[in-house]
Amino acid sequence: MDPTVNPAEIIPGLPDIPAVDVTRWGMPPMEALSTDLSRTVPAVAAAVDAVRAGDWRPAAALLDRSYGDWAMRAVAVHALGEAAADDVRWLEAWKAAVGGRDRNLAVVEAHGLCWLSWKLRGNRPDATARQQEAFHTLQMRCEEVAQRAASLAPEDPTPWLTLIIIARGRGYSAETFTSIFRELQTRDPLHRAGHEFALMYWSESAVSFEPVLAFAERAAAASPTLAFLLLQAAYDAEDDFEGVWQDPRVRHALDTILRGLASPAAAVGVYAASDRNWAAYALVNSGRGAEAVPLFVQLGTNASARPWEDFGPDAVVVFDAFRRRACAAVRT
Amino acid sequence: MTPAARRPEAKRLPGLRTASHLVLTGAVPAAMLAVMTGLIWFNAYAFTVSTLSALKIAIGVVPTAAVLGSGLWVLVFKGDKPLPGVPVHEHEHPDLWALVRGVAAAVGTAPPDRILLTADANAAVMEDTRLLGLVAARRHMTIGAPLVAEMTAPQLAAVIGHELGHYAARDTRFSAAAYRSRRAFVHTLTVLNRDDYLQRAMHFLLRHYGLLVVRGSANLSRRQERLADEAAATAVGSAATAAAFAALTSIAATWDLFRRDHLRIAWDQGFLPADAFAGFRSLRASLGDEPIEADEPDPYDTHPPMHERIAAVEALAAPGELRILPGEASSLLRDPARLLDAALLDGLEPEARAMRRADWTALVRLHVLASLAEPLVAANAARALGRPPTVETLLDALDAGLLEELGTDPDAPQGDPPRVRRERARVLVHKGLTGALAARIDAAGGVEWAESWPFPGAMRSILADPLAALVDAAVADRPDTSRLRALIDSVERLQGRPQNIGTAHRGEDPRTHGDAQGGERPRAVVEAVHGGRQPAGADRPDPAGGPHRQPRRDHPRPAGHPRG
Repeated sequence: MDPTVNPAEIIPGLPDIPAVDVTRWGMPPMEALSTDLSRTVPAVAAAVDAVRAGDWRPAAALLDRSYGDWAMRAVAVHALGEAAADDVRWLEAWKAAVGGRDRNLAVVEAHGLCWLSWKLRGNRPDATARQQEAFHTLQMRCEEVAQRAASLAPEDPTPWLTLIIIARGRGYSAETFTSIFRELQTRDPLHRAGHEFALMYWSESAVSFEPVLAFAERAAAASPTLAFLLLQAAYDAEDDFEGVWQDPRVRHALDTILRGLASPAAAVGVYAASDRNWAAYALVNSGRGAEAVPLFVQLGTNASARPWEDFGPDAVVVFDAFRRRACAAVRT
Repeated sequence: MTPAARRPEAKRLPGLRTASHLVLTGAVPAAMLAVMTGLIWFNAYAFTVSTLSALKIAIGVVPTAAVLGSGLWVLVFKGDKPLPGVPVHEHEHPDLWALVRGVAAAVGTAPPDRILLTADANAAVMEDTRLLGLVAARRHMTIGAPLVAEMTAPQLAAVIGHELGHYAARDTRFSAAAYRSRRAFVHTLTVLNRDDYLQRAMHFLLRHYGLLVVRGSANLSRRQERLADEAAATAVGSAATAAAFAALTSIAATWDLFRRDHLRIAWDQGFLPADAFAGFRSLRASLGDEPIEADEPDPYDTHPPMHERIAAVEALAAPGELRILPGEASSLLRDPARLLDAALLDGLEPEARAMRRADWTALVRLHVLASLAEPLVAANAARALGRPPTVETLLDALDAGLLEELGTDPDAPQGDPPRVRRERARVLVHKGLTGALAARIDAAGGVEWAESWPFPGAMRSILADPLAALVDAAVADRPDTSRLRALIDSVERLQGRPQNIGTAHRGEDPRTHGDAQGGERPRAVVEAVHGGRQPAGADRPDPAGGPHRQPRRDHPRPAGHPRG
C-alpha cells in the first residue's frame, strides 16, 4: 500500500495505517494529545488560564509587556480572543477597570468577535441559514471594533490581522484585500500570521497553484521565516494538483525550514512549533516520513496548530495518523 | 468572362470551406448509415450460409443497428420541438410585420411565416428542417420581449436584419445551407434526450465530433456573422446597427439580472410585478454603463466579440436602404404592454399565470416584511409567555430576562460555550424583533416604501431614531425596551393618518403632505435590499467562511494560527 495514503483521510472510520506504537519512538500516546492552542507559549498559556478563571490582569500585563513584539502579540491576541469568544465576563471586568479606550483591551475584544463569528457559524458544510446570518452579523460588528482598535494603536499590526481575517470571511475583492494587507505590511513587513491568512485568501480565490505559490515565494524570498508559506500553498493545492510536494520550489522551502529548525537560535521562537508542524506534514507527504520522526517527538502532545487544526474535530486523529506514517517510514 | 471567373483565388475559398462544412456535418450520418447497412447486409448474408451462426451474429448486430438506426432517425428526421413564445399575428400587429417584411426584402430573403415574442433577450430565425438542414420548410422568427421593450424601432430592425441576413446567401450559394446545417446540428445535439439510452449513446458519440465540427468551422462562422452584420447595416444603416449591438449586450446582461433578482422578489408570496418591463427599464437605466459580468461562454457560440462587430459595422458607414421611423420598438405593437407581459409569462413556470399582480413598491413591501420575519422567535415568545406573539409579548419576554429562551434555535449546534449561545440568541431575537416592529409600524402606516434601483426598493420609516439602535438596547444584557414601547405608542397614534410623515413620536404635531418636521427627510430604518446584489459591489455574493475550501478541512476556527 502507498504509505502516503491514509484511508482514514479519504473515508472517515476506516482504520488508520499503519498500526505503529508511537510511544516506542518517544512520542506521547494519542489520548495525551491536546488541541488547546494556548499551550504552545508558556506566557500565553498562563494568561489564558487566568482569564478562563476570571482574572484579566495577567493578560493585560502580557499584552502591555509585549507591545512591539508583534509575533508574541499576535499569538497572545489569537489565544485570548478564543477565550473571549467562549466567555465574555472577564473582558467586561477588564473594560470596567480600564475603560473602553485601552489599546490592549480593544484588540482582544475585536479578535474575540472574530472568533465568535466563526463559532456561531460552526462547521460550514452543516451551517444553517441562521448560522450563516449570525456569522455575517458578527463579522460586520468585528470589523467595526477592529477598526477602532487600529485607531487606538496606530503602529500595531495586530488589529490589521483581525481585519485580514474578516476580509477573507466577507469575501472582499482582491483590491480591497490588498489594501488591508498593505496596512499590515507597513507595520510589520514579515508578519507571519498576516501572511498565513493572506495566503488562505489567495488560495481560496485562485484557480491554479501558480499565483498562490508566487505569493508564497515572494514572501519567502524576503525572509526564511516565511518559507512555511510554500508548504501551506502546497497543502492547499494537494487535493487538486498532483505532484505539488515534488515541486522544486516546495522542496527548497522545506529544506530551508529544516535547516532553520536545526540551528539552535531559530528553533526556540514563538513560531518554531508552527514550522515543525508544517515541516512534519510536508515530509510525510513528500515520502520523507522518517525525517519527520524527530519533529513529532519534539512536538510532543501539542496537536493544536495548523495544518491539523483545519481538520476540526478530527485534528488529533489526523495528527496521530501522520505520526504513525512517519514512524512506519523509518527503515528498521 | 463571367464575374465568377474573374474572382481572385482567395475569394473562392469560402465556397470550399462551406462545402467542406456540409461534408463534415453530413459525415457522421453517412458513416452511420454505411455501418448500419453493412451490418445488416452481413447478417442477411450470414443467414444464407448458416442460420445458427447468423442467429449468433444477430445477437450482436441487432442492438448495434438499433442504436445506429434510432440515432439516424433522431439526427435526420427528428421533428423540431415547438418553439416557445407568444404568436404575433399580422392582422393584429401590422406595423411589426411590415417592418419585418421590409427588412427581409432589403436583405434579400423570404420573410418568416410566423413571428413569436419570447421571454429571452435575443432574436432568432428558425426553420423546420429535415436532413440536417438540407431541406427547409416553414420559417419562424422569435423576437425577445426585452428587445422590443428597450430598443428603438431602427435598432430592432437591425437585429432582425442580422438574423434574416443569415439566410440571404450573400457569401456563396452554400452559405445559407451551411448556416442551416450548423444550426440543425447544434440543435440536434442539444435536444437529444439524455434520459433515453439510445439518444444518450448518440450524444456520447457526437459530443466531441460536434465540437470539432463547430469549432473547425469557426472561421466560416465568424465570416457568416460578419456578412449577416453587413446585411443588417446595409438594410437599416450602420448607426442603428451599431447602436443595436451595443444595446444588445447590456439588455441581455440586465435581463439575466432582472429575471434572477427582481422579477421574483415576491414570488413566494404569490405576486408578480404589475408592470415587469417598467421595472426592467428602471433597472437598466440605473445600471448605466456599469459592466455586468458575462455568463459562461457557450461552446457552440461562434460570434466574434461584440466590440469588433460594432467597429466593423461602423466602418461600413452604410446609410441604410430602408427608412424606418424613429421611435420605440414597442410602438410597432398594438397594446404592447399586454403582449410583452404575455411573452414574459410564457417564459415562466405555469403557476405564474395564476399569480396576483402588484406594483413595485407593494412587491418590495411584501418581500421585505417576509424576509425580516423570524417565525422561530415569535413561536418561542408565545411558548415562553403563553400569549400571542405580539411585539409587546416579545418586549415583555426581554424585560423578563428571557433573551436566550426567545432566541433558542433547535437547529444550532449543541454544547455552545456560554457567550456563543447568548450571542446566537441575541442575533436571532434582534432579527425577529426588527421584523415584528417593521410589520407593526407598516400596519400603522408608518413606513414609506420606495423603488430604489438597481435594488428594487427601500423602506423608510417615520422614525427619528434608527430602529436598529432601539432594538440593540432591547436585546442588550440589561434590556431597555422603554424607547421601543414609546415608539409603538406614537406609531399607533398615527394610525388613520397615513400621510403623516414626521417625528410624531416626540409628541409634536406632524404636518400632513410634506417632509418631516424642519425639512428633515424620513430616515432609512432599513435600507432593505432584496436578494439582489450590487453589480459592482466589493462583496462577493456568498463570502467564504471557513479557512478552507475543502469540506473535510472546514472547521469553525477563524485561524489555523501558528504559535509555538
